[in-house]
Amino acid sequence: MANLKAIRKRIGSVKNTQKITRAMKMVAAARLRRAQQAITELRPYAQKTLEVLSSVAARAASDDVVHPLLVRREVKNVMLVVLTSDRGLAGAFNTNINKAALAFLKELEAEGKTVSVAVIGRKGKEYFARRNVTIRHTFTGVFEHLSVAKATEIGMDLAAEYERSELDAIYLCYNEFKSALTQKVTIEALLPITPMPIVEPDTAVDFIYEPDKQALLDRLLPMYAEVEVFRALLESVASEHGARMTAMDNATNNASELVGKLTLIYNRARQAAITKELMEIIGGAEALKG
Amino acid sequence: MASPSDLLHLEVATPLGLALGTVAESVSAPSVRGEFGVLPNHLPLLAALRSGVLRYRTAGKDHLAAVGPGFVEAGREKVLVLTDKFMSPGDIDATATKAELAEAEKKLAAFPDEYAGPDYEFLQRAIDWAQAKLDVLAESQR
Repeated sequence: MANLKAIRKRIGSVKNTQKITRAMKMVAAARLRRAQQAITELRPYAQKTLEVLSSVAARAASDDVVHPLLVRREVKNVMLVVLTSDRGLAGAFNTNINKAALAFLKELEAEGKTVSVAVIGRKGKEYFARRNVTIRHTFTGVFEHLSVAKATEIGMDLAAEYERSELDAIYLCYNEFKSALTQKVTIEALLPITPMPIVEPDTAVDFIYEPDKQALLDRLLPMYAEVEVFRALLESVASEHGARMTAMDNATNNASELVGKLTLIYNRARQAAITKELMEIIGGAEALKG
Repeated sequence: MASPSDLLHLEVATPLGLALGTVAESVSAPSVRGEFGVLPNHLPLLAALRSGVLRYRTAGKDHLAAVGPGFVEAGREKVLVLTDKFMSPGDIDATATKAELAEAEKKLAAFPDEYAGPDYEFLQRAIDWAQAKLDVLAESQR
């Protein structure tokens, strides 16, 4: 009978776990919706900024106007900005990005470059702290209150370091949001900025620049870096919730399956016990008769 | 009946979405060189924006709002404002803004004189933004 009790207890505990995973899935789904909306709302702003930037940069280039954030130097010092989450239980979300970043880092080191990382999110910090990697910056508490101001702060820090020539290239490593089921590990260059080549139908119309191209570029480029950081943060957050939702959905299904299996074992054991008791009673009765 | 080119499409895009989309008869924005006005059929203009008061006139009524630093792209029948912050007078909390301003000023005063790193700039922006909000509030209550 002790066996039966143990199985019953096990079923109870699996059901409790299932309640938790189901609740987590629901929370992740709600947050995912919000995160997805944030991405959609940023889009027009980001797109327009890039358009304006590219058009100014292209026109400025023909006037020999340069900006420190556009200057390409021989690459010696590289920094990877790795975006992870503060919390776990999100499937392979953090592992994927950390592994990809580490592989890229080793590749760069093999080319003889000095590589450091800037981590955003607790999971990345823990991962790289264990692996003897130079952590140049740690940005924490970013995801508790994800705001434009926070992205601006990070973007300004990075731009300042590039301008001081302490770094020759900065890459962003983050999970790009494809759908709730899939996230794509993305590593892209943040600085130096590469403006899009512009294809313009009405090249005849040039803008009046206020105050002038150089001053506009001075403001546009850092702003672009800030927008990129903010976009990567939003993508990463949406991916995190998507990954967690999927992971928790799987966990809930697995729990259901386990409860089914355990119930079967429990019933079998109960049946066996009843049969055994019956056999004993019959055996006893037969003995009395004899 | 006014022809379409007598009006301006005014759009304010922020990282948090389109904050404003309306049709205006005139728009005035705070550029780094001072306030400037845009009427329909303006020549293409690209101006850098500082924190300040955005004014626009819609159907004979004047409106205003606080905007953060960014850009204005003006064309013949369109004005697009790209800024990281936007707030209409109704959304501004006077007490909170004053506290914001006081705190940022206190932090700024703690910096050595010659210092001009990113965090200094960040504080300066916060001060400008708080001031812009208070300006809008003061003006809308007049």
